[in-house]
Amino acid sequence: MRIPREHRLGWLLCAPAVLAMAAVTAYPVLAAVRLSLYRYDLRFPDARRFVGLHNYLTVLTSAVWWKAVAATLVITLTSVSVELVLGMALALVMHRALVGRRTVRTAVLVPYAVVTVVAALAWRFAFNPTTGFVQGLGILDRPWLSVSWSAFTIIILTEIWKTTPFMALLLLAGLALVPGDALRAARVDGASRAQRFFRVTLPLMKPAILVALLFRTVDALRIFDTVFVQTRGALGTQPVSLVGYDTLLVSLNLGLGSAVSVLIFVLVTGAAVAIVRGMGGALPEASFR
Amino acid sequence: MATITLKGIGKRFSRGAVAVRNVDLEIHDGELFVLLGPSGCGKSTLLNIIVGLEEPTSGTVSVDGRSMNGVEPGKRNMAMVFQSYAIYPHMSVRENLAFPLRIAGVPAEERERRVAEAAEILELEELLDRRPATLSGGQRQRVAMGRAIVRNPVAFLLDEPLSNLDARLRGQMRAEIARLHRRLGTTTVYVTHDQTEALTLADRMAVLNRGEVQQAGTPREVYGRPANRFVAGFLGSPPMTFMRGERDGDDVVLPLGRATAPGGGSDVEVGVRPEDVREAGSATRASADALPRPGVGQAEAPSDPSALLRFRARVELLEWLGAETYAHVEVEEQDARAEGAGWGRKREDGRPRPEPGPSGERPQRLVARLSPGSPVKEGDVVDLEVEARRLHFFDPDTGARLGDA
Repeated sequence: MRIPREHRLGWLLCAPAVLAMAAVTAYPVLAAVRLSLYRYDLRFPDARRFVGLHNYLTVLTSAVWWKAVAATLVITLTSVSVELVLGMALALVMHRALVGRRTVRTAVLVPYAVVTVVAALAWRFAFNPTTGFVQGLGILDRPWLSVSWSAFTIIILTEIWKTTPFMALLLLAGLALVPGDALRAARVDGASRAQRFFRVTLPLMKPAILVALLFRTVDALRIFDTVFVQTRGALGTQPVSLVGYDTLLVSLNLGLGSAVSVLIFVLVTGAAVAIVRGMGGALPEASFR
Repeated sequence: MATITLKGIGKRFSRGAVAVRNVDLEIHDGELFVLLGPSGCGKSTLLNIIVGLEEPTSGTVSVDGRSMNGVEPGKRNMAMVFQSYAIYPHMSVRENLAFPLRIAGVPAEERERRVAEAAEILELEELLDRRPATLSGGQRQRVAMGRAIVRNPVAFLLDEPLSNLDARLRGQMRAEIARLHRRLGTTTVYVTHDQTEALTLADRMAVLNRGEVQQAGTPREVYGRPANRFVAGFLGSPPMTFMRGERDGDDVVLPLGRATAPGGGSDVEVGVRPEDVREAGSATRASADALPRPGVGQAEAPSDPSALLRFRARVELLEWLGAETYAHVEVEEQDARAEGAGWGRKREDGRPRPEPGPSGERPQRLVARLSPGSPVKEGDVVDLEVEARRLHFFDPDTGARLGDA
């Protein structure tokens, strides 16, 4: 079959972008995959040799990895679900705001504009047993970052505080797509506020919810800086990215570290595919005309 | 089944814009009532007030004597069809039809029965499992209608239901709505800016402009005896031609000739509909297909020559439409043929005629409906005539109808 000229021209025009993407994305990923198949420890560079899937076996049979997976999932599931609910509430408020719409939107975005490390430090200081202001609040006086569950709580709170605005903005975009006439029609049809929200607004927002969930889940699964700053992975809070960091950059074990990275890549991709599959089937085909 | 009464309805938006002003209307049980007006005249706002999507700032809406102010739209048991159809895109046609029933808690069995019934009436059976995105405009329109009738509402409120359809489909659906209304006999309020829809569908209608009811009545009354200049100009296609009539005793002098005019001693504005202008001497045809005008000039015999205005005009443009021809003509300066005419003469009261105003400088233009078989060509000078009783007189300042109003 002949390729039409326009198609060829199209590919030609795309080529520079494709090459650039290949150089900065595909190559490093493939290089990491290759590295992960070698025993390669920078402390013993001469001992480099091909070991097949041995590194993966080591990672997947280690308790450290699985504990990290569990910690990552706890942080991700909790923070993303709380963010979804809070973000939806914020989006509804912003959507309905009649006065000061711009001010509200700007104000809501402030936490998202703060650098993660700074936010994480701020929260760590707030809960510091000697200097933190939280201690002044009476019943909250406890060594927060010295106990596993409360350390988790603070990490998750930091995440929620920081990224709920992002979620809210994505959901707000989705809310704006819900046709006003459909809501008015539902009102005439006798649907209560709650019925209108759950039977009309929410289903019509599914694409936006999907995108928001996807972005935030992928993001949360790779959590690093907040934990690094607040606990440095102590008390069982170590997420998978920190395991990769320690193996790769602290222990300088390139082979094993690459295997961890590849596994994280697989985990994140798997989660993304699951979300798209899980919600994609129920997408409305088209918006209102 | 319901009588809807609007009393002193006003609506002012928070930014100060007034959408509706002091509207009094009674929509009788079982009738199809059309709210007609140009865009922005407040007709849709009025409909939203009736259904309860908006609260009036003043006045009351009552249904069968019960005040509806403050009652949630869902509790009014009215069904609305939106211009955008407002079909729920994430539901199948069946789910769309069943939605109001599901909300109302109708048991599944009855729900299915009523959906099937509505689907049969609107010929939607084949489409029940389709998604709205796969439907054509006309089919969506029918789904919206179906969702309205499935609840057995006390009233249907239709907001420009046909304006998103192409011309052919619009004609079809118009007939379908008329049939549906006859079959169900439910009180219907129909909002449109399209005069054809209004005249063909309405039992009674109201013409709105700038938030105020200009006139309410049957289509024949409103078309035949427009209450003011706005209504006269809005209804009719091509529209009525307006010209200035200068007062001369009991008569007024028009570019077309001289006619007896009602009202006090001031100048008047005179309107002529294209179908009331005919080629001189073709009286039988013109009066045969003219609309009857209740109460207008009944005493005069149509053939009375003194009640005729004859004038000469040059044809500038002919629009041949198959069944009829519209001639855009330029009226020639009248001479003594307009018997006793004061055109170009001093007034009897001795005052000099005012300098020819805008209407005097530019020749008077007029649209006349001619028979499609007329041999008249562009550029021809023809003799035309209008029966005086077909003229509409308006106060030039207030625009109100003079005389028989």
